[in-house]
Amino acid sequence: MTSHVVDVPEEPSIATPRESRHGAPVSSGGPARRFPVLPVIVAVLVGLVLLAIPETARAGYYQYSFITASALAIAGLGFYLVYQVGGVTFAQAGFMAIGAYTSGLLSRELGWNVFLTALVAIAVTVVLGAVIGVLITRARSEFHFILVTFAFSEVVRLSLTRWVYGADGIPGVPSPELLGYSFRDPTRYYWLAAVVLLLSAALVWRLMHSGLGRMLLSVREGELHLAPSFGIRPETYKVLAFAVASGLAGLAGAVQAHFTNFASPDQFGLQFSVLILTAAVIGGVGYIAGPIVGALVLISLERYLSAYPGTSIVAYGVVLVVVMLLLPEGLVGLFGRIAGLGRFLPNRPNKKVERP
Amino acid sequence: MSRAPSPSTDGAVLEVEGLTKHFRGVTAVEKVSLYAAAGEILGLIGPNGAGKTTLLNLITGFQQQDAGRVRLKGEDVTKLRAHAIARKGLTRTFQAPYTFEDETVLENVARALYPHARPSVLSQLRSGRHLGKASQDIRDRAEALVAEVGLPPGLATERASELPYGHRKLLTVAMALAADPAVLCLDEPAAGLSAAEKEKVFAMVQSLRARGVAILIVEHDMSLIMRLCDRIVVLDHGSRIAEGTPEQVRNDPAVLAAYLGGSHGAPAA
Amino acid sequence: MDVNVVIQTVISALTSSAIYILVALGFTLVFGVMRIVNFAHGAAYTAGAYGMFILGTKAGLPYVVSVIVTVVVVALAAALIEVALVERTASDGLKTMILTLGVGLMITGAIEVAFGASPVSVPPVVTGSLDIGPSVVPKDRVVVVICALVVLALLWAFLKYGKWGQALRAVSQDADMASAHGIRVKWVRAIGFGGAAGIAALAATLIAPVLFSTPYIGDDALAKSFMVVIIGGVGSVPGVVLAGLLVGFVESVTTVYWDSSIAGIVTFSVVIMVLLAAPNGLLGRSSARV
Repeated sequence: MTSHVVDVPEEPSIATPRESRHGAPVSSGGPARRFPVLPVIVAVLVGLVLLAIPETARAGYYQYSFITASALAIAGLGFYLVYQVGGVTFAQAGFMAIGAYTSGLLSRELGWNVFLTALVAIAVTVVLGAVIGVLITRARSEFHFILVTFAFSEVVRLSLTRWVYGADGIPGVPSPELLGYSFRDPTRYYWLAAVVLLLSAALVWRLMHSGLGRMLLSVREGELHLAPSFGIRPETYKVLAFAVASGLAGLAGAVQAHFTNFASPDQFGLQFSVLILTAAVIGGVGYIAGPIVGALVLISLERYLSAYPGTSIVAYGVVLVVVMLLLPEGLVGLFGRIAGLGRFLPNRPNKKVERP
Repeated sequence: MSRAPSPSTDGAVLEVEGLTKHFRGVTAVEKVSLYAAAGEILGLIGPNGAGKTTLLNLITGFQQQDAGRVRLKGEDVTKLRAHAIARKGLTRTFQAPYTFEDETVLENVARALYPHARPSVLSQLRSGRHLGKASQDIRDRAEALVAEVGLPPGLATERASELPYGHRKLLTVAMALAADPAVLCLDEPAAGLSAAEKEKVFAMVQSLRARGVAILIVEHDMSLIMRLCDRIVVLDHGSRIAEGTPEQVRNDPAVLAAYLGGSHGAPAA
Repeated sequence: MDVNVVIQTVISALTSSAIYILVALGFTLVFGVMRIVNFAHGAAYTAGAYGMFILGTKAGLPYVVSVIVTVVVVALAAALIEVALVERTASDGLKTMILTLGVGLMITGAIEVAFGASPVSVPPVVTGSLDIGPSVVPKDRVVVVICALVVLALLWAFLKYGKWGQALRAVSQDADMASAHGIRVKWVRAIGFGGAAGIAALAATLIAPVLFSTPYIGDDALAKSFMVVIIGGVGSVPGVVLAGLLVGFVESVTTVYWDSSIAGIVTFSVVIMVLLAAPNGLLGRSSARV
């Protein structure tokens, strides 16, 4: 096996080790060190364009879509995190429900400021996520993990239906308001949601690009042999990822609830978990921008097809099949290859590059 | 409980007493004891299926023993799992050279160094992930380790998956050394290598002595073991059947019987 | 404790259990042969129900004819899907799982588009009731249980003695070894996948005359398969039977004495507890890796 310099013309530089400008060797996992403004901006622009086309005429409709997509994307970022440590989680829906109800009830019943209740919701879901995470990391395989997380979401949904306000949910969840400035208006909420989404993405980015991210990757790629050899206790990192993901889901639930001014258990069932997974996969499970792009595409699809019941589900199915067969890296991966922008993509997934 | 007579274990960095492991009725390891001192190279040999790798797994915490004790620098580490034992200073390589395929050689070693340089989650959060950033310290140490195991420095930016097999094995040794261990266990480091590559391994293991680390090496290549080790422990069917210097072991009738008794080759002189 | 209620509950439980066991068996078959989690399994069930709707209700064909045609069509379609799509990603478990999810969504969605989301029904096959002790029990459910038992027995015989059944078992244990013995593993995979879908469809055809069908019955069937397979232990047929009975009974009893939400909570909680306390399920082989 010759060790030729790795300049493979047809491949973008995603996986090639590179010299930095100073000639010092850098990691081949090398995403840009600066914040990936480019892919996120592009993602948002693409999303805006997609959303704008069909329905600009209807006031509030376009913003509604984006806000829904933001909530989905935030939950999807959590999904991405858990995927980074090797799990496919169906628990995001359950934590969203908890977040929505916590924030919704506290603001509605106790009159607390929505920004405060949202923080409480995040805290609650993070702690709960850590607890559940500790239990769940005993799962012996991916399948077990999927099932336990699914069971958790269902237990949450059924419990909320049975014991808290019933299947119709909580009406009259207040809109956010800060120092007299109300976010009830869709356009204002739209900007709020965009900011929250970007902050969440920034958080996840910072996490993955810190030393912690390196540890997470070591767990993902070497859980059985390498990570323990280095003194890494895989469970610690899995629980951490799961807890943060839960917090993100709680936040997403709050974002959703305070916009639609209501929260119900049926919003967060199996269908929703599938939606989160689909968004992440379409966008590309290995990329931070993946769930964001995926959520925007999905919600756009849904808007286009909302006139024909059932077609959106068929569309999701087709997209999943096509992506799995042809585009396993998702849209973000595809985009990265086409534009040769591989090196800007945060944290490309572990993949083997074929050599002649 | 009777114990096989063994030399004094004072000053031993690694002490193993009576390790036993059964698998569904089959005894993989039966009451095996051994010890290793700092700077010593201890060989572990035996016919196929003798239980060498299982023993290694038990010592390093990758499998749990049914009975017995392991002491590292005097401290009982029997109940600890692999990651905890690694942190205490006992690391290993594997028969297959596990590496992070898509990462460079330096990054691989950095990944191994990292948990020891930044042990707490908080410190990990605050530091950067890339070799170029934050830790010059980590990068220097990585380069030093790469050189120490005899990897040509030009390979530092090669991807691990691009390396020839022999170099990958050396890489895994560098990774195992990242923890600055007191005891290093090498699982068949010469397996699958050409004669020239084996010599490199030989030279490397010898040079590691200078570190003061105790080395436990499982191997099939007899001539390598005989030349390299200070002492050798021989296993057969899970039990220790001989122990001593290479000379003693080579001439031990029990050892010859074990190798000739099955369809295994005799230990080459 | 009203005996009548007890008997009704037991019959209802047995009926549910019978269906769950059959569907879970199909699911575990695919897992055993291909080591993949088949998310399209629920869609096969739904397809079975709607096949009966098309043939039985709309076209008015006799029950048995409808059953046979439906099952065969679903099984063949599934085998085709396996060969055309699943085989391509078969090496990557996660990709295949998501692929089957996509296929399942396509089928479910298509059914919703074609038939709407409202419940549909299939003409009853057996009417009237039976006297069991002091109770009056609907005959159709009893028939379902009996048919399910027959199918189970036939399946068992097929797996144990049938040529392809043995091939399926061989590939489940060790695909390479089976291949070395001349078994065409690719065919076995297609047959396994198709057969599993056929079993799911069959279960649906049995229960279609008894209950209403919607495009979403498959989701529930899939969830129940997961639960039964996990609780019973992967790779264990007796485990599936036991777990199916457990799930069916827990569900029926809690529904009767409380309500369906509680039933769901209890069932899922049992699943979680089993998963955490006994990761191999009640009867799973310890070497079985899911």
